[in-house]
Amino acid sequence: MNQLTPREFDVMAPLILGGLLQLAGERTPQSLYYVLVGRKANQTIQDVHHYRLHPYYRLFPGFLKERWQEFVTYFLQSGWMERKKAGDKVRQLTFAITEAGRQQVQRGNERYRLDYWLSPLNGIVYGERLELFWMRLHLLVQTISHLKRRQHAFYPVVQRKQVQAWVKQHLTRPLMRHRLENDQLYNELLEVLSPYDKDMQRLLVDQLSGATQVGHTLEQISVRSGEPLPLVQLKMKWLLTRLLCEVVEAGVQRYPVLSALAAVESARDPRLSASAGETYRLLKKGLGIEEIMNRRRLKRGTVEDHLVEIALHCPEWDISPYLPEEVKQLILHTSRKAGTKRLRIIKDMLGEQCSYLQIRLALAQEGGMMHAEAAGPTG
Amino acid sequence: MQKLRGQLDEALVRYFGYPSFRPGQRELIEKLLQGKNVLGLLATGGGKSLIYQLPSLILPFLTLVVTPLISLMVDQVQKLRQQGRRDVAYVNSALNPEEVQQLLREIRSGRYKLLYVSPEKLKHPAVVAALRQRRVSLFAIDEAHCISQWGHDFRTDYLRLPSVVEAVGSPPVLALTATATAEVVEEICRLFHIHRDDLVKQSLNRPNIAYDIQKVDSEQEKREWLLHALAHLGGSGIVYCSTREAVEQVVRLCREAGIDNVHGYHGGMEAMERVLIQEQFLRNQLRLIVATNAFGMGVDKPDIRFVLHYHYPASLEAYVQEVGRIGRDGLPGYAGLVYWPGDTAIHQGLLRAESLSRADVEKFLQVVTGTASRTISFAQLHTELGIGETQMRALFFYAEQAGMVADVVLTKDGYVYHLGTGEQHIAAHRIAEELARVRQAKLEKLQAMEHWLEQTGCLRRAIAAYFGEQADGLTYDMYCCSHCGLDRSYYGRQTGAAARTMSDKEWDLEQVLGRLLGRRSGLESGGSL
Ligand SMILES: [Zn+2]
Repeated sequence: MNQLTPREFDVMAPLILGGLLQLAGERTPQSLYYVLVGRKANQTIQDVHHYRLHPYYRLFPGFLKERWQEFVTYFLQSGWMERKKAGDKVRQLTFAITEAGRQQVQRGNERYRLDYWLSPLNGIVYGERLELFWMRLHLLVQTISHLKRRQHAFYPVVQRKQVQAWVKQHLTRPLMRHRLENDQLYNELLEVLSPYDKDMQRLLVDQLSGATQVGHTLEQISVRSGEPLPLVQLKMKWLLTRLLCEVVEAGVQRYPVLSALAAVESARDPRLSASAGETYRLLKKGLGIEEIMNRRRLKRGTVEDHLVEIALHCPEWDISPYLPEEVKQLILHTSRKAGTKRLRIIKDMLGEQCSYLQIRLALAQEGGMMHAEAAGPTG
Repeated sequence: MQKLRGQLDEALVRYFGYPSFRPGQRELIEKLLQGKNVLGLLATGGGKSLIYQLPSLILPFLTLVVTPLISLMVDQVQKLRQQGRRDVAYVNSALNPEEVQQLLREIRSGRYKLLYVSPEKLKHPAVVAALRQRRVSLFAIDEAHCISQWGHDFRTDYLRLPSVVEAVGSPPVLALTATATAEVVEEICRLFHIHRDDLVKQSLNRPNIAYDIQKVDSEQEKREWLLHALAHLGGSGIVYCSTREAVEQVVRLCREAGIDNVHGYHGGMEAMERVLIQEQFLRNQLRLIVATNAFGMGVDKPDIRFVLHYHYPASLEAYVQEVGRIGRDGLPGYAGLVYWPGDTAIHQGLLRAESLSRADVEKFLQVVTGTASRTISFAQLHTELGIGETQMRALFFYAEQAGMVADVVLTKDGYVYHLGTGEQHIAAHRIAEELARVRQAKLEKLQAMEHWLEQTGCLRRAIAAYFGEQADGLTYDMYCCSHCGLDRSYYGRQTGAAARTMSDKEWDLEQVLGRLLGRRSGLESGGSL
């Protein structure tokens, strides 16, 4: 999403204002930006929970920072939003949404039914799972479409290797193969899509690729249907969320193929990067740094980075094997005394009493805690 | 020799289905099989991949192909596998460490005969060791002009290639490039020990392309020119712009003018979206693509009828590459460029944005030497210095040359390195000087481009002269260029790819799904991706 047309702006403005409404008086406008792009930081996740922003989380992963700034400026100039100081303790600036701003939100709901499309969305629970479901479905449809026509040479529309491996693996399972040969995917798609009106059915099916068609982009669908692009994106998220919920609820009996597409193999810790998550899993199993390095063929520096990431985001992690409490207190004391968080200076002052890793861990854990406190209810 | 010829002809028919070689192909392959180092100057679309793919079927050990274009290697490996070749693979930075380890094991075990590798991967001693152990029969270097600091596309990792060739036992080298000036050719030959007689040149002249330049005085006139051209041209085509913003503006302009069968394409778009657009274009479902120079590499569409330049490119090399995508089927095509001198500001701006000051270099060295973990991510460098990945790559390269860092390894998210013994002040000076030299070279390319736009002689001859080709005896099929005389209406005659539209009434879920999923026709057994 880059430069917006007036019609696109007309959808985006009330959409964003609606999210800001929840944060008014509490947080900075910026916090919503992090929610919209789906930042994994503790702070952002807690904002989502505190201020009920689940539909907004990861709604526009590619939202550019410059664009966001333009929105905020525009809202301030239009008198839809005002800057404001938060309570006397916090020095941070917050904001208020004016009556005119609220009317904008209202107007968006009336004109585009934004509240309706947003209501089932939940980026925290479904965010990446939705994308995975969609990519698997897309690639499976493309593959079956070509195999049925005995065409082996096709360019996979999904380039992500994990998704390709997933489809490949499932196609070799005898039961799955049997089902697919008997038009099971066709039957399930027909059943799950039938309750929706034609526009919705077409929104999904037009995007699919196969031997008979190359899928359309959402931009093309927006041009065809005459609806602004952000609205089309929102509707697609709505539809996918509804389908995923329906499939999960009805279960494997009714939708054996779609259920497989919707399943998540490994529950990943959303607070961490994939690689750090894996390290955390091994740590919890009792493996040490060396063992993790060997098993995962990683450099020491990488594993150490993971530990720091875990210390920052996972307050429940027992850090003591790597950082005894007294060493931690020593480091924090030194850091405060010297008025710095720079590793080298602290290390110079403490010499052999601690390692670089321990300094990083201590500072990271302290930082994570402060975040958690700041995000707590004010009062 | 006679026997070899027969073998080549047979392989050509059997594996590639072509009845005969295209100009230059046989000569290059024969020289390679005689153990010579060669340089092939082949026009874009001149069939360069065949020159290493065919020998890889005949030679006993590994054929290595170094290419900086990840899309190209993925695309070629995918195509070869679809044709049933199981002995091809690629190594690039998009693979995770586990995957690379697995591949190296397979390479050592002799599973592959054709391996694509991105140049930065050859920095890893483990990769080079695996190649040496496997033994390399042929060392192919795609985009060989990237080794020249004077080239328009200099890549620091290329400078290491001559030593890698030696490290894997000095097999015959095949250097390939589509565009290289005389001095670049000189440099490639020197660095890879290629004899002048082993330079094989396909003429750059594309007789079926007509060149047109229209000089205008304002942005508004550019828009009018573009819409007029698009309304009259037939067949499918590409419009090139210099920036992503311009791509979006031009797409909007087209749609507002009622041209609906158009889509933008640039590096900022999602991967899936880019694949869809490319595939639609290949299958004539989409007639027009408006793109930055990110589009086109590895796109093999023979019937592109026109390429329009809404902004002129930064070099003649880039221009020739971009218009070279026209008419690979040999039928007439049209290369139109709307020239507004004011656009030089865009190029100057891009040059400025990517140039690094002495202060930048010093700050970079400070950050790098001051990072205790000796690991630095792209994101971190970006926040601290505000530079892009290309600039980081150049900085690390020159810092390594200046002895400030050592054993630099490029990972998926950043760099890992050791500190060298260099003196920071001297190094900063040296690096800044190198960077200034590269910048100067780019500026000269741009000036050459602008000179070509301003000169009044035959456009085809001027291109030939720039690349050091004989300019007399250049042929053309229909019209030569706007300076020699051109009937633009000629290029509107072919019928365009029809836009397919389906009204809402016609649309039926059961029907569309049934057709897409080939209902009631069995799945073929043994099918694979
Ligand atoms: Zn001419």
